Parts: sequence; structure tokens; C-alpha cells
Amino acid sequence: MFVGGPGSGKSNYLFRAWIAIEHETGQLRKHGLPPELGYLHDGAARLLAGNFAPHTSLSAPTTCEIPVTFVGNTTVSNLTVPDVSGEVWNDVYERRQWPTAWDAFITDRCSFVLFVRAGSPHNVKPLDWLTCERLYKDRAVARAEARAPTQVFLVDWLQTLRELVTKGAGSASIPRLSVVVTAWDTVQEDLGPQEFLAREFPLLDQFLRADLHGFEARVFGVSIAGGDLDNDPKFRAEYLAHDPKAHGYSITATGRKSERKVDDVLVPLYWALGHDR
Amino acid sequence: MGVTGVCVLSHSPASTCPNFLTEQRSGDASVEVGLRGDWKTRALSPGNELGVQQVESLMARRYTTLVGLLGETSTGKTCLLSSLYLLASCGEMKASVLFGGSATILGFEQRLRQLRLWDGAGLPEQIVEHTNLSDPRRPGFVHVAFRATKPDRIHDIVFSDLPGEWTTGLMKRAAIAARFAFLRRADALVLAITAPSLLDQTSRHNQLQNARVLIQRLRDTVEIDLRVPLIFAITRCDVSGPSLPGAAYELAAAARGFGFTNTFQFPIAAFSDRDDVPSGFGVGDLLDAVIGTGTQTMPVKAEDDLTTARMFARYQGMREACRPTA
Repeated sequence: MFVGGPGSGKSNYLFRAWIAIEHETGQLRKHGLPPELGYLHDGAARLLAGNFAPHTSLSAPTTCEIPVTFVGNTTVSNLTVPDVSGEVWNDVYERRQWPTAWDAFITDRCSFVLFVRAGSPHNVKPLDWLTCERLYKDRAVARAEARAPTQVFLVDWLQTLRELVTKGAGSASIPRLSVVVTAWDTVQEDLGPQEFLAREFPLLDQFLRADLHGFEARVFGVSIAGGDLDNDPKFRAEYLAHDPKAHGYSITATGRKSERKVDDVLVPLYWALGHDR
Repeated sequence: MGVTGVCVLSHSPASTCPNFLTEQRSGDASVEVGLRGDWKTRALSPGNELGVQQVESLMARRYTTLVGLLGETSTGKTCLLSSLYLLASCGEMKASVLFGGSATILGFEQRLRQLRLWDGAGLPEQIVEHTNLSDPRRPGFVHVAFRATKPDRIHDIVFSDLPGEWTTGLMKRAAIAARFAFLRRADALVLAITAPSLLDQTSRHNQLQNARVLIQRLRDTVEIDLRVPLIFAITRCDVSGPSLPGAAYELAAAARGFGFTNTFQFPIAAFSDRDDVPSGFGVGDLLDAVIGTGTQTMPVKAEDDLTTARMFARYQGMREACRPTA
């Protein structure tokens, strides 16, 4: 299940993943074409044309089913990904309502991929001490700072999902969780993904490291194109002149001080699907 | 908001808007008005504060440190909780303590923004059994989990969130002690008193007297175990400075005089613009004292007749069985 707010990169990752699966550039291969391919096909087409997919509308078809196998494994699985608008996930936090149709996805075989985009304009920083001092002196300031920080949404979603997994699959079920920082190419500093979370989303970072969340979690950085197709015309030209499906990479963090770049955007999916890499 | 999902008065989350209503049909707890369009949905835990039943569910899963947070109105109880949460939110806990989650994370965010205030006109007289999203702030509990790494221990902590009027009421009338019966299960008591009120000659004596009365009530009427740590949170040190007022030591002496064997006092400044008293001053020390108390062995007490005592009393005996481990 892909989880993330508006502009977190869920859909673009899904389309890029489909390109990799369809072209069999990674460890995950298609086992025939999905019966319903329109959403994936159109999204992939945008990436192959050098454009990121736009914001997912609320009415977009949302559940993709891709029959897959892993290299060297004959077992065929159905990768089922409900890809929904980030606003729906925001509503889960703000209105405390869970779509009952999603209960079907919460099973003992489910896993989760949580997306947050580096540098997204949708990201809301946590309140700092200075702002809180002002809040307590002036209620009008409190009103203006009413937006909850992104890290609170992320923690709340994971807590909510854990509760739902317990109800749907039992407390002994420990799903895999990939936390994916997308647009990793925009992270200028020499940081690993976990260090990036510690800097930008300290509450989420602690929550993951405390390991009371009830998932088997790993953190990754991903760039699906290797650069900015929207704002870097030189990069876009180079991307189109060569092979788009050869662009993109994952950053794995096997420890706080180490990172490893892999020219395969599917690495977070491998972890989520139970294949360590 | 029913069309766009966004509150036109800019409340976020939208559920905090005083005009927010959920549509319910046929008495069903599931709200059938969807998030968007025709989505059918089910209510999630509101996350603003916890009622008795919700705390009991937590306690059933894992040993939970219960902290009774008392203090009259405007003594900084909510600021203290907000400051503790902000320490975690900003990543400023000490390195050996990690935020591990909160069942009331929305409630902390709302309190931080002063979006969840007591309605003085209609304060309830009992702790709520179960909270609902549309409820105003009601006496209950807030929750936070920490993982301490040295030694490796898990701490689920539940703080009571009560209006200051209840503390004042307890001083004046033994008859309301039943509301506080849950404190018999408490691992620690925190009593908030402002530092300026202990320094001001016109208020100092009354504050000491009030505290004496309250401590005696807790001992004699609520029947707190005298070994429960009693922590004086001397708040608003952003006004008075980093040193404890002399009267704070009189408080501790009084508590010991009434038989409490384990007392602490910490200068606290939840928010401050002073260089010598930074924001969050003392909050980490208070948390250390609370976490330390969660490991103390307490005797199993027999259940009594008060319904509210029964609410947590059955978990007394679990203290050793559920000792948090890595």
C-alpha cells in the first residue's frame, strides 16, 4: 500500500516502477501484462516523454494489479497497489475517517511504502520554540500556525495502519515498511536517508529508530529520473536523448553513517515485498 | 467543508472547528458520509485525549506509567505537556531517549497551538470514559511512548489532563475525591505551582497553605500511597529565573512531613525568551524523574468500592509481570 500526502511522489514512483518491471531492468519482472493497464500505461508514457505525472486527482482509477515474479523464483505474485490522492491520506489524519474499502488491503500479506518528498512545497515544518513562545503570547499567531507538521501526519498514518493491521491480521503480524524519501536528487548535502529524516522530520526519525511501531522498517532515498525533469531543461534534454529507463536510482541506508547508491528504483519494493537486497 | 474538505475558517485539522459536525445515521458509529464523494468510511480513534476505556486498552497491551498531573488553573500544566511534546517534535530529547509514538498526537498538536482549551462554563465532573472526535476538551489523559536506550527500556506514559478547577475543588471539598481515585494507580504525581506565586510575598503563604491542604487530601482522602514520588513542577521560571524559590523547599519539607518519602522539585520553563532559562528548561529532568519512577516496585493494592479506582486497580499486579524490556 502506497502511503503519502499530496505531492509526495507516490504515483510517479508507481509509474517508474512499472517501467522497470515491464522492461525487466531489475529483480522484479512482470508475469504477463496486467489486465487493466490504462493508468500505468498513461503514467509511464508521461515519464518516457520527459514529464513527471501531475497531481493525482481524487477521481483517478486507483488500484493497480501487476502480476510479478522475482528473478530466480517461479512463484507468481499479484502486486496490488492502491494509489490514491494524497488528499485522501490527509483526510485520514484530519477527519479521522478510514475508507472501509481499504480494509480489503490490510491482510497478513500486506506491506507498506511510505513516501515523503524532499523539498516538497507541501511539507510543513514542525513548530519551533520561538514560534511557540509567540503562540502563547498571541492567540492570533496560534490561528495562523494551525497546519499540522508533515512529520505528524507521517507518524499518525503509521500508527493508524498498525492499529488496522492488528485488527485485520492480528498483533503477531509484522508487515514490512519501506520509508522512501523521493526526489533524492534534490538533497544537496552528503546525508544518508536516515540522517535526512533526522534533520527534516525528527519526530518520524525517532519514531522509526525507537522501533515500537510494529513494522519491519527500512529507509530509502529514491530519484526516479536522476534529476529534475520539470525545472532543469538541460537535464531533461539529456534524459530524453538517452534511455529514460536507465535513469533513476535508490539510496539504501544500512546504518546511520553509510549509504549505498544502486541504479535500481525498485529497491524499496524489494524490501517491502520481503526480498532483502 | 463537506464539498472541499477544507474549513473556511482555516481550522486544521478541520475537526477542531467549533462548527464541525459529523453526520450519523441510525445510531451507527460508522459515519457514512464519506471523506470524498461516495467513499464509505469508519471512524478512527480521535486522538485528542484518552478516556478511561482507552487508557485501559493501553494498559492491557504494555505496562503504562500513569502520572497524575495536578495544579490549579494557570499553573502551567498544559504548557508543561506541550513543552515535553515539543522537545520530542524538534528532536531535542537527550540522545538516549527516543519518541516512540503517541495515541494523542493530535491532542498534543492542538494543545501546542492553543486550539484545545477548557470550556470553563461547562466542565464535566468525571473523567470521560471514551472520547469522540467532536467532543470539546474533557478531563482525560494524554499519552506518549519513549524508548530509553541506556538501559534499553520502553516507557508508555499517560499523563492526566484535568482542569485546574478540579485541583482547587479537591482542596476545598473531600466529596470530589472520587474523581481522583485513579491516582491510587499512579506511578508519580506532578504538582504544578508557579515560581512567581512562590516569590510574591502576597501569594507565597497562600500557595504553601494550598499545597499543604492538597497534599493532605491526597494522603487522607484519595489515599495515595506515600511511596509514590511527588514531583513539584515549579513553573514559569521564564519569569523568575533559573533558581528555585526558597518556598519550593518548604513544599518538599511539608510533603515529607505528611509522610511522602520520595519528593522532587524542578524549576520549569515550558517556553522562554531568556538566555539563562531556555525553553523546555527542566522538562527533561522532570521526564527523567517520571521514567525513573516507572521502574519502582509498588505493592498490589486490593480493589476498593469506588468505580474509578477499579478502572486501573486491576493493573497494579501487572507491574512486575509486564516490566518493560527490550
